Amino acid sequence: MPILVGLKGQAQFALDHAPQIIDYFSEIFQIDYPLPKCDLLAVHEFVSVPLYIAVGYPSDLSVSIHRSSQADFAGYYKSCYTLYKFLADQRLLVSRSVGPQILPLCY
Amino acid sequence: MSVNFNDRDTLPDTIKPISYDISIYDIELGGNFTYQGTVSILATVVRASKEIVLNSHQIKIHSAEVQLERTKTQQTLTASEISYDAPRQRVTLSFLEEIPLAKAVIVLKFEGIINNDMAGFYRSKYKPTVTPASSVPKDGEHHVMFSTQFESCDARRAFPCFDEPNLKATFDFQIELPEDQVALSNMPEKAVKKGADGFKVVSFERTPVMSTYLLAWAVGDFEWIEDFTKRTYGGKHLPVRVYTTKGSLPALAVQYN
Repeated sequence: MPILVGLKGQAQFALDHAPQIIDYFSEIFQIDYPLPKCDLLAVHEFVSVPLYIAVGYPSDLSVSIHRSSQADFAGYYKSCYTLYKFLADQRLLVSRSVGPQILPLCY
Repeated sequence: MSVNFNDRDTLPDTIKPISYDISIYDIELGGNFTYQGTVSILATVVRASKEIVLNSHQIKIHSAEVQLERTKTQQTLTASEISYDAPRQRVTLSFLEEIPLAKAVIVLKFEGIINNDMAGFYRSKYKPTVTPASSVPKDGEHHVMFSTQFESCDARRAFPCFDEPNLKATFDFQIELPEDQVALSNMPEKAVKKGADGFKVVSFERTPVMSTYLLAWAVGDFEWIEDFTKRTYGGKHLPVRVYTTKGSLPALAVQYN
């Protein structure tokens, strides 16, 4: 498969990984993902941190993502990590919503 | 080990929200990018008071009233004064009489700005790679899409709310947008109705009980690709979509593998 660049590459990357990440967190936390869908949105101007379900990802990752399939392991790792972080945070927030009422210490 | 909470400056514990019903409409597509909104907050009054304090930041509140469900009759109290505490990002609604211990619906009509500060409800500039939908507004040379960023405390910049993470509630959201654009939110679309000429009103299913900063929505000239989880959730493989502004998605062959 050709390596896609720019936003196309990011979109494909997100679609390749997000379903697996949702399954992964549902397994390890033993809590099913709570909503009937997961949408990710490429937001053109963005300052990190996740949304609940509509997840944006920062465009400064585009360089690392499009190289990621072969050469740039650091970039691949960084991209995966970002997606994991978005979805992991979402998972923790769900468990908080049924647990004790504490102020989240995000980041 | 005990934790000292005294250094926290939180909202008065007189009222606890249960559910929000939010409607956004009359978006100004250009110029100052203002919008109008109505939020109805069903809440439990925990301590009787003549005041309700909410978070609000760069929002102009046109009117505020409290509807009380009394046996058979409905009583409406209109705020006699709406005063802002800008540095603390709060607004105080004052009433002539005490709001009794009961369930109440706080109805606020307000105006906000789709800002360019990447916080609250904001606009992002981009250069379309294909001809965009005709309604897509421009900000100078660029086209714009709208989305939200509420974490950690900017939901109050999109609508007045009890913007503290332990004050969890459900959210019903609807938004009026041009017919040729797409609206997204946390939950699936519930209904699409006709709005003003050339506009539609999209409403979304009710969210689970959650914090204000987790609410999200977006409006733009979007297209999407979709895949599904391998695992099933309630007997179904979960649909996962990636939305981008038009012209930014991989080719169809890749899209459907």
